[in-house]
Amino acid sequence: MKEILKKYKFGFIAFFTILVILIAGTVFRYLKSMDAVHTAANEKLLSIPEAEINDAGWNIPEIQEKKKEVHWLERHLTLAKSDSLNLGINLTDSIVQVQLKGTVLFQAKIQKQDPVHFFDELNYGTYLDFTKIAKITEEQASIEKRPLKRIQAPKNEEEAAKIKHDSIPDPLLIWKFKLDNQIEVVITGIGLNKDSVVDLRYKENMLRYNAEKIKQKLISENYIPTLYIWLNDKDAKAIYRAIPERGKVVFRN
Amino acid sequence: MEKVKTILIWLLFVVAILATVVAFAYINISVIPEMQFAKYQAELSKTATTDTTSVNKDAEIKSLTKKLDQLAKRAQRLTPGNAFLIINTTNNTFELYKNNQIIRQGRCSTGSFIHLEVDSTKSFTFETPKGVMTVQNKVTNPVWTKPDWAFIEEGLPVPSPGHSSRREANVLGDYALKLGDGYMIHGTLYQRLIGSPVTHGCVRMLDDDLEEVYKTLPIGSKVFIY
Repeated sequence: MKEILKKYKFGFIAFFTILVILIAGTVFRYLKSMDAVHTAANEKLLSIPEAEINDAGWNIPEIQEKKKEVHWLERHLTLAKSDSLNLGINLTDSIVQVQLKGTVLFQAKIQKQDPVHFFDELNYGTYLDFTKIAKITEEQASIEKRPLKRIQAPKNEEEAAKIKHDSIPDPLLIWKFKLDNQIEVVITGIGLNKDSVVDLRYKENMLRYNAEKIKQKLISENYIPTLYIWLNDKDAKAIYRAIPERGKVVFRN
Repeated sequence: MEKVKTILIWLLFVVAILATVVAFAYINISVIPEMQFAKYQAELSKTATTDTTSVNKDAEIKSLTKKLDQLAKRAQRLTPGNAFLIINTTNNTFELYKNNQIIRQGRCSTGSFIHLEVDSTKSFTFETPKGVMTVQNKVTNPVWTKPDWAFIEEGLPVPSPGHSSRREANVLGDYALKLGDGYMIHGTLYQRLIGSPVTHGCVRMLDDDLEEVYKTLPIGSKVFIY
């Protein structure tokens, strides 16, 4: 044994050094991440009236259910006053819908969601904040909102005949947006594989999204909860292109 | 033999180091974000009161039920009554509603999103506007009054307004529903292109679909485009 330790001393040193560095780094990251969560939660709670946070009726399931329904309808009616298309994310029924003037124009079934239980256990005050009408403040997507194709007007009929209207298929949609109530949403389109079978790459997508976040900032001092939703790609694109920039979003859970 | 053993042991070190790195990467990439969310949700669910004895449950439920009924009635009134049309410009599909039931659905064609640049001051974007529009007028055997872009995109000189070459019959199908600002729902000679984004902003439909839409939607009906 001693001989092995001696012979492969550098191997053991390298392994344990790396292990210690990884443990230390992970513990440090964990503590900082939890600090960020604590700060974000405190800030949120401070912005909500205590009476709402401590609403006793909320603890009775029948009352809670009715209140949720009341708020969903109230938000729906408020949004109906606007001339803009808006987005409803109904996590209770696993539906994402586009609404205009109180009419649901389109709805798509959520195929997958992460976290599975996204804000389904909140106190009354934070529930009101979560489900208030929120505005998109930042967004980015893998495709154009308006897929404009620029063409120079032909000078004559001969030139006009030469113009080709080929179109390249869009990639799968990845639409990330942040809301002014400090929630981030990532909508991912699910395509079909080469055998035309639905190709949900949930784990691969999740690893990529989380790795991207770490790449942007190894230790983030801010925490924003993120809801990941997977929809059929055609539905996802229709919804993305329907909702105007800085559009409004409302949740139901 | 000894040399092979040495190489294998060193290989084992490399594999152990790589496995450790992967395991910690997974903890950082996947486990910590999950723990963050769980903690955040737990903090936001905290409440000082869990005692519900002060709540008059029956009275509160009665009051909430009443409020729900009123809100549901108001929400119901928002849906356009008799008949309306919904057009999806991304997938180029439509749904025709009557008495809140879909009575027909299918493919249509909407704006191509071509941005035709004439010169530095003049350009046209062939896009179907999103939002809610109203059927302002309905015509049978519509005649197309060609706008400037119809000549420009063909590389032809633009005639004066009202010139006879601007009027073209038998190209818009048997019916047209006018939505205002020059936008219409109409038919087409190019039926095989229905389902693709190929129009200059109007909505094109197959003959049978157009006939049903024309007959179902009275003037004043809502057309929702998204």
